Amino acid sequence: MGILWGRGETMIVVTINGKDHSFEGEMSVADVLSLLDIRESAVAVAVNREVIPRSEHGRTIVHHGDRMEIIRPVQGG
Amino acid sequence: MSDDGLILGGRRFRSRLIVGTGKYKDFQQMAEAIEASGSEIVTVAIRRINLDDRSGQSLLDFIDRKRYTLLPNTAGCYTAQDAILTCELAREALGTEMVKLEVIGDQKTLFPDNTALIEAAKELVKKGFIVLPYTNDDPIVCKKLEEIGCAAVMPLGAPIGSGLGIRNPYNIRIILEFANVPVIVDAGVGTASDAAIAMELGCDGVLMNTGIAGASDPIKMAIAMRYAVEAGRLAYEAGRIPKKLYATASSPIEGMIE
Repeated sequence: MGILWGRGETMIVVTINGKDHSFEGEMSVADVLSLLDIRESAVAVAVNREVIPRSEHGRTIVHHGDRMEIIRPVQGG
Repeated sequence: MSDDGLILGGRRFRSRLIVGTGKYKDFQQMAEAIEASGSEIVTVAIRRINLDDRSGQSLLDFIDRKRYTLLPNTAGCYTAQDAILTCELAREALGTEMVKLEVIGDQKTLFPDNTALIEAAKELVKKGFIVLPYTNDDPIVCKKLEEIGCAAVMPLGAPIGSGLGIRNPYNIRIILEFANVPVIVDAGVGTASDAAIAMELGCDGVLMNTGIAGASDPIKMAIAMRYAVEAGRLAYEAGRIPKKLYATASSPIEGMIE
């Protein structure tokens, strides 16, 4: 499912860290991370408030309308 | 020294001081302060990656994970659900099961929401986390947190970042009497004597961030806190003298010149 564009490809919109991102078709979590150039090791991903283990990044597909969180550790007390 | 250290989740730590990584001028100063504090456990927060600016350095480039145990917190979470998800994300990102659980009830005081805290703690213990909850200095809440299966209780000395010290040492004493898990004073420490007081009461450890990071010279304050925690613990183990209203001479009363 997604928005049908003129040339026939299906665009999907995924909310990542609170902002909408458009992608050309559904893709895996690993694809999203690579497209966004996220290479750090200490990151974690949740899709629709469900943590996706690193081992599942390749086979977990992100769909139109999904809400994704990508986090990392930062300074804090 | 007889001190056998702080035991959390089955692991033994020599240092009884846990420090935060927040509010430093830069990563370099943070790293120096952590080193100077002698701490072996450092807290970190969990936040969204900034997708618009990927240039910044990473916190973990400045913390040797072989040397320091990372303790992710749930700072900023106002619901049990957000705190639980934050812990799950932290576990996935850092591979650690030990978490500092905070569920904040109010923005101005940053006091914990005890009902939500207990709810989150229950769920996290069930999911296999080693839960170290930041809580009010309320002996009953601390007792409940222990019964749920938390690995320690971390009552506040005073509001986070306030530097007001140990506002209710009597409650801390009652918490210590009730507790069978480590009691760590978390928040409120403003200067070395505050940390020493917590340790003299018999607390197992002290957790602080602003007290060090906010000092004019954070590195010096980190050293001061290290000594204060050690001194306070030693004084506790040594057993202080009773307080008396009148003097007792320290020098012999016999053999005085006439």
